[in-house]
Amino acid sequence: MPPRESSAPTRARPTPEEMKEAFAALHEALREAYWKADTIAVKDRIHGLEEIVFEIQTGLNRAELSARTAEYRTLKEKLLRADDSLEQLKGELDGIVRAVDTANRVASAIDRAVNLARGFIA
Amino acid sequence: MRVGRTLVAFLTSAAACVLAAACVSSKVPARVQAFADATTLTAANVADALTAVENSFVAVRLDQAALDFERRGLDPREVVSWHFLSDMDRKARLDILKALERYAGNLAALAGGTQLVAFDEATRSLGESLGQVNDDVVRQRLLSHAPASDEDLRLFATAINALGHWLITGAGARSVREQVHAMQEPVARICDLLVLDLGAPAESGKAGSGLRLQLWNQYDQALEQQDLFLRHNLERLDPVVRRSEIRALATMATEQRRADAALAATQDAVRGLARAHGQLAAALDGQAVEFDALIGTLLAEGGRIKAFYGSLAGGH
Repeated sequence: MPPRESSAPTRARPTPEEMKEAFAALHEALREAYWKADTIAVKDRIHGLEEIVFEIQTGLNRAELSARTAEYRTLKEKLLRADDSLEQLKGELDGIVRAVDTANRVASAIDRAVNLARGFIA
Repeated sequence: MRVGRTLVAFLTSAAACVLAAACVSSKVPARVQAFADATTLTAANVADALTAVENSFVAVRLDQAALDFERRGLDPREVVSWHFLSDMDRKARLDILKALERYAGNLAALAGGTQLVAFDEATRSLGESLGQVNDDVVRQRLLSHAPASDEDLRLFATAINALGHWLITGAGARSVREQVHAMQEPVARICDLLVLDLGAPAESGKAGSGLRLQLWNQYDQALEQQDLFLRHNLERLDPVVRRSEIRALATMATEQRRADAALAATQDAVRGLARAHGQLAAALDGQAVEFDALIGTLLAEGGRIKAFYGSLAGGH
């Protein structure tokens, strides 16, 4: 027996953007209602609803940010590769500085040796 | 002796040529260093933006817990889970900011900044040491067959310094130019992602996104929490505390706008950093650019934003 086709109209699943817009509008409506409300009881109830909307908006926002995390990791690897090649050259150039330092140490050692030997030479 | 003087003369003329060439590109190290400084400041401000949103998120949770305490109580184990971004998401962003800083710092070191300072110090010490070795005793007894004059030694040290500069800046500049060109796309993409992360507040029918939406919503929550706290406790608060809590409510409303303005300015700085990286590439190719003005703005604005985040420390 073939499966029966549903006669109910198929509703497209809302996109994340549509969800965000719907909850942003709801948040704004509740916020306005809160500040217009004139009893604590009503304010408490509205704020309770807003808490729920806040949690949903936070979850949607968090998911959107989280979806970009993988790309950050890929880009970090590219930066680190560039840094490796920069650091390698930096190490080679540091060698030039070290060579002058070595010459400097040799000259200082000669100076010290000469001063020690001064008594014998004079 | 003649060979020695010829060598010194050769090194001196080589040094003169090198110094003349160096004058043409003398702006490169300063520009690359300025780019590194702007990167450090912008990265610190983005990290502060993340911290500001996290601190505010925790403050909202705490205030809500205080409001609901009679009804719901508070399980202390819950508190450790109060984060807007997960540790993994937050770490990925802090890591990329550190990597950006390190990249810009390495560019600056290679463009001549830190290495040349170390090299200049080393050659200055060498000149002094050679001068000491050349004192009268050595001149008369040990170097009696080929004495070097003080002027010869000074020229020798100067020549070594100039040739070292040429080697360091030549190889460094080539590498910096290659890397800045190669990294154009990744750096631009990183900045695009950070701009998206900072997002926009909800306004005129648009849903908003990112840190700016989150922080704005958190302030909306915080304002209502403060208002409810006041209304529930108005009769129990002494007049001085009551006045101070009402002032806190008013201050929070102003701070919401200032905090969003700081995030927006951070976002502009990130866009500016991407432009500055592009302009740095053009400047290294010898093209006329407005790099200096752009970096000047980035550094000045960056300092102002940093001061604001400092004033926000600890949440609302």
